[in-house]
Amino acid sequence: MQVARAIGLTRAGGGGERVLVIASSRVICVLDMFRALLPVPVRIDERPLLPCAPVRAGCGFPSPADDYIEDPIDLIDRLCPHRHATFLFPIVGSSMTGRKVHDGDVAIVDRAVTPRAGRLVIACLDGGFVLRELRGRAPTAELWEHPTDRPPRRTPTSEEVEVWGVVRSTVTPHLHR
Amino acid sequence: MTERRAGFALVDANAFYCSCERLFDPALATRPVLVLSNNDGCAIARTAEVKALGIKMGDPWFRIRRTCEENAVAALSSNYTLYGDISRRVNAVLEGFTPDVEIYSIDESFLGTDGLRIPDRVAWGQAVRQRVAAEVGIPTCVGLGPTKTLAKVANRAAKTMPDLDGVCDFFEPSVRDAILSRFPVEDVWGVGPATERKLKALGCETAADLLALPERQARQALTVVGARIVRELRGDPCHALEHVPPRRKGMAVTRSFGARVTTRAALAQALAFYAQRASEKLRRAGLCTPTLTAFVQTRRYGSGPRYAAQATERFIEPVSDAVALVRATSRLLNRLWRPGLAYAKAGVVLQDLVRGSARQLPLALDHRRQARDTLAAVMDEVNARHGRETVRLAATGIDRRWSVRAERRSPAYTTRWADMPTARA
Repeated sequence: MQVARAIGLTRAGGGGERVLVIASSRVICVLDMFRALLPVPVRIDERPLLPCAPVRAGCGFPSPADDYIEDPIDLIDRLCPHRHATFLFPIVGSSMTGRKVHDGDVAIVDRAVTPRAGRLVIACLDGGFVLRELRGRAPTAELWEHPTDRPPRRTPTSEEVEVWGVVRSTVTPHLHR
Repeated sequence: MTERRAGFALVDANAFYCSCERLFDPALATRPVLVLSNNDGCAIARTAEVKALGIKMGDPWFRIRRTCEENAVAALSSNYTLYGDISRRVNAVLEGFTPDVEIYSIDESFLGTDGLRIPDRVAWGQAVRQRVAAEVGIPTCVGLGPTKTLAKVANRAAKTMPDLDGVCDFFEPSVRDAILSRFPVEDVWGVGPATERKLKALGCETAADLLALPERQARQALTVVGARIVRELRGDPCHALEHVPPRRKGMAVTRSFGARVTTRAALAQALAFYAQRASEKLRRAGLCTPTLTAFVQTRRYGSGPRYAAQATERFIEPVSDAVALVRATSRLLNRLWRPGLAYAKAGVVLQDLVRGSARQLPLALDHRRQARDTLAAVMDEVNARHGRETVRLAATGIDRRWSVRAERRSPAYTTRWADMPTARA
């Protein structure tokens, strides 16, 4: 099957039909009709909702910005390059403040990243999840805590360390509700 | 070197619902896990340890509860929100291997291997398994073969035979022949209980016996469908990948109640709620329905009077908005309601669905109709942005004491902010 990447999608019409756009302001057709017109099954990747100026097909002056429209900066794209492998974990506790992870942060965990020594990871411990620094390699990998007020110390583990995923970044809210 | 040949791979998750639960609760890693159907009715997914306890698919909860408690089995309500999200992630990984992915069910997908450069099929299968396990955390098995039916048999073998290590390649004739000669004919894809009886009468016990059946005899005993199964088993593909899901001709929203319903108001609420759900499903698929059938029934077993009835309303033109559907259920209930009964189940069935755009346009003067379409579109938008049922029709009830029982449901870990799993630091 082929995958057609919608160059642009916008909503138009009273019913909010999704309209496929090829150039920035030229309406091609209603998405569902487009699909029906094609001779082979095509999966339409609808993700790139390009910034389409509100579409008015064939009336008024075209915007002079039409040829210069770019994607707005997409934070999600930057923070989660592997969306299908990305999971979020709210953080509770202060044993990792030495690595700039604070109580109340949200960790963005990417399972498509290989765990390596020095990386922050989510690991399974005592039937729950912990955020720690990974040191060493399996089967003798270790989990380390990094508080600010004490020197780093190893988290005692009874069994082999099981890494759930690698922390790509953490989000710290600065306006508390 | 590289090889180009028509073929399929079936990737099937192992005890998928249980694996999803284990992924977000490390405490379940060492416990047997069982997932129950809607209303906590019966077993629908089991880990190997649960199977070893003799618990079968479909065993009712009240009968296995004791065994589960004695063996520290974690019995959970089904959490379809979670399973749906994880299934989507699994398929995203599979699409990294080939754009030819047919999502066959929530836990199995067919991949077209035609045109892929696969020097070593078993190693490729292992790579698929390894990536799904690493990136999503779900264990799977892979069966490869020249037809979908063979890929399916190969997958079953990969699941049940530990030496295969989760990958079974039916392009290898020796592997294929050895497994087919031991594979029970009733487990072949498409063989139902009636066909099984006919086949056993003909002396077909295994898939290999069925494969050896002369085509004319197969057609006589099993019609065209059976002849197709035989051809597929021989490696002659009759089914291609289906990329675009076939358009739905009908849909149903029916549930058993969590608690018996005895009042008319509660029954009306339940029907209205199902109608609203059906409207959401219709609108998401871009479909309209010309009819609505509502049905109600009491328990089929046990004591007390029994009653089951259904009634259908035909709309002047096909509709999809919740208001129209809910109103229809309330009119139909006038015909269906009998007092003094304990209702156990009700539902809404829609048939002969048509494309939203294909329906006749409403008369331009029908302002009320247009207003309702606008309302429905606004409701969809609000609910899409702020979560399901942020806005809903009051007719669908507020307390919903009749609603589905799910006392043991895990959180929606990946779809709700408040439900995310926490990590200690």
